[in-house]
Formats: sequence, structure tokens, C-alpha cells
Amino acid sequence: MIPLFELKNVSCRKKSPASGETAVFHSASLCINGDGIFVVMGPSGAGKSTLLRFLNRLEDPQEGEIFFHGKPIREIPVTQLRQRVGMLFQLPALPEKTVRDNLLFGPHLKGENPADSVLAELMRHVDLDPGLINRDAAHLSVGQQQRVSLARVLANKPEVLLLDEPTSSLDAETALKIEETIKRLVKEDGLKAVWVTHHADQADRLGKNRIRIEKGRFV
Amino acid sequence: MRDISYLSLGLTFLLILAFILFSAWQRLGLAKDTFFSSLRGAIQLLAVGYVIAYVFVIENGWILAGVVSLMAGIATAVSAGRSKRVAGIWKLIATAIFVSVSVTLGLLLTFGAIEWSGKFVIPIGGMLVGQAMNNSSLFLERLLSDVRRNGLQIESNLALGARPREAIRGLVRQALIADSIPTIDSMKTLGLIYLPGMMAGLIVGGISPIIAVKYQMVVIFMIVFEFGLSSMILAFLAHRFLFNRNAQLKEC
Repeated sequence: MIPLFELKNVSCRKKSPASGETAVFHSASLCINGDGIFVVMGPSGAGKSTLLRFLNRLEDPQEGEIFFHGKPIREIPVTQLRQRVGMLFQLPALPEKTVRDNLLFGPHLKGENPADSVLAELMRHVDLDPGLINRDAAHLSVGQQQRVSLARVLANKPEVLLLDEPTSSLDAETALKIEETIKRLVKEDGLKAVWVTHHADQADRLGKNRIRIEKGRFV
Repeated sequence: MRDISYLSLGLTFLLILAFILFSAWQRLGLAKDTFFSSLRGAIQLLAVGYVIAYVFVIENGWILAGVVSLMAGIATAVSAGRSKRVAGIWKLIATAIFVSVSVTLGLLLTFGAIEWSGKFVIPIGGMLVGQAMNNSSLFLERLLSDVRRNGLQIESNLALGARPREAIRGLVRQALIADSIPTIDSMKTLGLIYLPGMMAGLIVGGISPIIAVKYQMVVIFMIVFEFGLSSMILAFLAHRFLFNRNAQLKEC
């Protein structure tokens, strides 16, 4: 079976102000299957976020090859790849626009213009009150902004969702709600997810399909 | 016309020293830059004073084009010096300055608003180059600072499949608006608060105020046009220098 993502002998060095040039990955290889949520664990600075950035091509490794459905990702037009592989970041960073305009950003890039009823359904899907659709997204609470960010990615109808510690800036209750929402989306909509976390208890809740990054290697 | 004594000139330099002292007191970090910039400006002006009589009588088109190009080249170097961290940014600034100055000067010559001689092309060209340089510096200063502060927002847009131009469209718009404020405000107060440089100079030099006003109107119209043209070039091309060919945000 062709894996969802495959990394072959990936190496990457980054400049660090403290220690000069540091190897984040050294000839690392990994297969990520497309079965539900794939959890990536590891301490801070281990390279978890860098891995997700490779998969969305916000960065490229200096050496090695990454495959998506068996095809080298460098051969897939980068904007197409990013529309198929959505990414939710650790912190919401929404432009000062209404929730509606934020949700329409992705669809407009593809020439689509979903109706308000579709957007309202999407908002309900991520446990967000559709009554907020005309509110300035940047002025909502952090938890609500993170839900808008999730809905913004889902409005693009991605095949895979990359989650870079999406609940780390939220209080425990809101974090659990977002976690449940994403688990439901994976279960009900068949969405595939790669979830980065450094919380062992969260990793346990997300499932057994997981890997750990330590010192630039997958263990 | 009455001459200004070197003593009076020296005393007016104290005004700059006052600002330098204020800057040092408030630790703004501008004292050294202000001192050397004003000294450099004074030396350059004196030098120009000695050669301008020769430059103003030039009518050879190639020499005039060369002098304006030299001014544009210096302006590019000064403006690019402010954005050293962005590789190749001088190409964007050079394009904005050279194209906007050439087109505006060309139109002024075509409309018959100025003559093809040194006494018109050099000062008008200088004004245009200066305006385009200020425009480039202000626009890029604002845009680069916004890009540094909003890296996550830009990458969130890229991660949705936005092309670089689409990913920074909002920030480019904000930079353009901020950049346009001095030009628009100076037009609003024209004649009411201050008499612009060229007009004041012509009147002091004994030219009829109405002729001076006509020249000033030409200057204002050309500056607004040139501002728009150079802004358009900067806005349309800036993303090429901020992202690599794989639509990844570069460090800036």
C-alpha cells in the first residue's frame, strides 16, 4: 500500500543564534500511513514543526526526498499541494477581516464562492456559532480564533490536515473541545491528520498511530 | 539678490545641532546619522552650487540622460541601503525609480511643460528621483516591517494555497496607504500652510507669482503621477523579492 507521506533520507540543517548551525534531521526516513490521526511526538526543538513544514512545503529539506501518495512532492505544483494538504498552526494568525471573509479566502483562490449557508454549516461543524460570521475575526477570543482558523482550512476541503500543536495556546477545556472536534472530523468525514504534540496525555487520547522525534531521527 | 553670510549659514547649522542633542538625550540613535547626513548634504549642495552653472546649459540629450541616470543610481543605492537584508532588493528599487522618472519626464517633455535643456531636466529630474527614492524607502520600510511581524499570517495564507502576491496583498495595501499619506496631506495643505519649494524659489528669484504657481502645479501633478507609478511598480513586484520560487517566505 502506498503511504500517505514518505520521507527518504531527509537531512536539514538550520542556523541557531546560540549554537551556530544545527542538524534538525540527519538522513531521516519515515512512512506516514493515511489511517486516521498520525501523532508526532517529541521534545521542543526536536523538529516536529519542521516536519509539518516539509509536508506543506513551507520549507524544503536540503537533502532527501518526500513523497505524497508515492509522488515526489517537488513534482506537484506547490499551490495545488497546499490546497490538498492543509495546515493549522500553533497560534491563530487571522487578518483583520470578518469571519466570512476569512473563511472565503481559500475558496476564492480556487474561484469558488460558497454561500453563507455553506459557511454557517462549516462553522457549526467546528462548534462555532454561525452568528459570528460578520464579526471581525481578529477580535474574537483565542479559542474562537483557533476554531475560525480550523474552519478556514476546512473550507479549502483538504485531503490531509497538518496540526502543529493547535491546542497548546488554549485553556484545557477549549483544548479538549478542539481535540474532540478534529477527532470527529477524522472519524465522520474521512479526513487524514498528522498531529504534532509534546503532551503525552494528548497523544494517548489521539490514538496509537504515532512516532517520536529525537535528535533529528524518528524513533 | 542679498547674499547670506557664512556666519548666518553657520548659525542655522545650530538648528540641526539642537536636534542632534535632543536625539542623543532621548537615545534615539539618530544623532550620528543626522550629523553625517547633514554634513554630507551641505558638502554636496556646495559642490552642486559650483557645477550647476555648467550643468544647466547642457542641451545634449545623452549627457542629460546620463546625469539623471547618475542621480537615479545614487538614489537607488541610498534607498537599498535601508533594506540590506533582502537580497537583490536594489533591483526592485532601481526599476521603480528609473521607470517612474523616465515615464514622467518623457510625458512632461511631450506635453511641452518643460524644455529639453539642463535648466529644466536636471532640477525636475532631481525632484522626481528624490520623490521616487522617498516613496521606495517608505513603502519598503513599512512592508518589510509588516512582513516580519506577520510571518505566521503570511504562512497561514500560503498554507492554504495562496500565491505569494495573494499571501501579502493586505500588507501591500496597508503599506501603500501609509506611504501615500505624506503626498496626499501635502496636497491638502498646498498654498494654505506652506508654499512649496519650487514656487517659493521662483518668487524669491523675481518670477511672477502666477508663472511660479503654474510651474508648481506642473510639479505637483507630476509628483502625484510619479508617486502612483512608482507605487504600482513596487506593489506589483515586491513579492518577487520576499519569496523564493517555491512560494516560501524568505528571511527579511
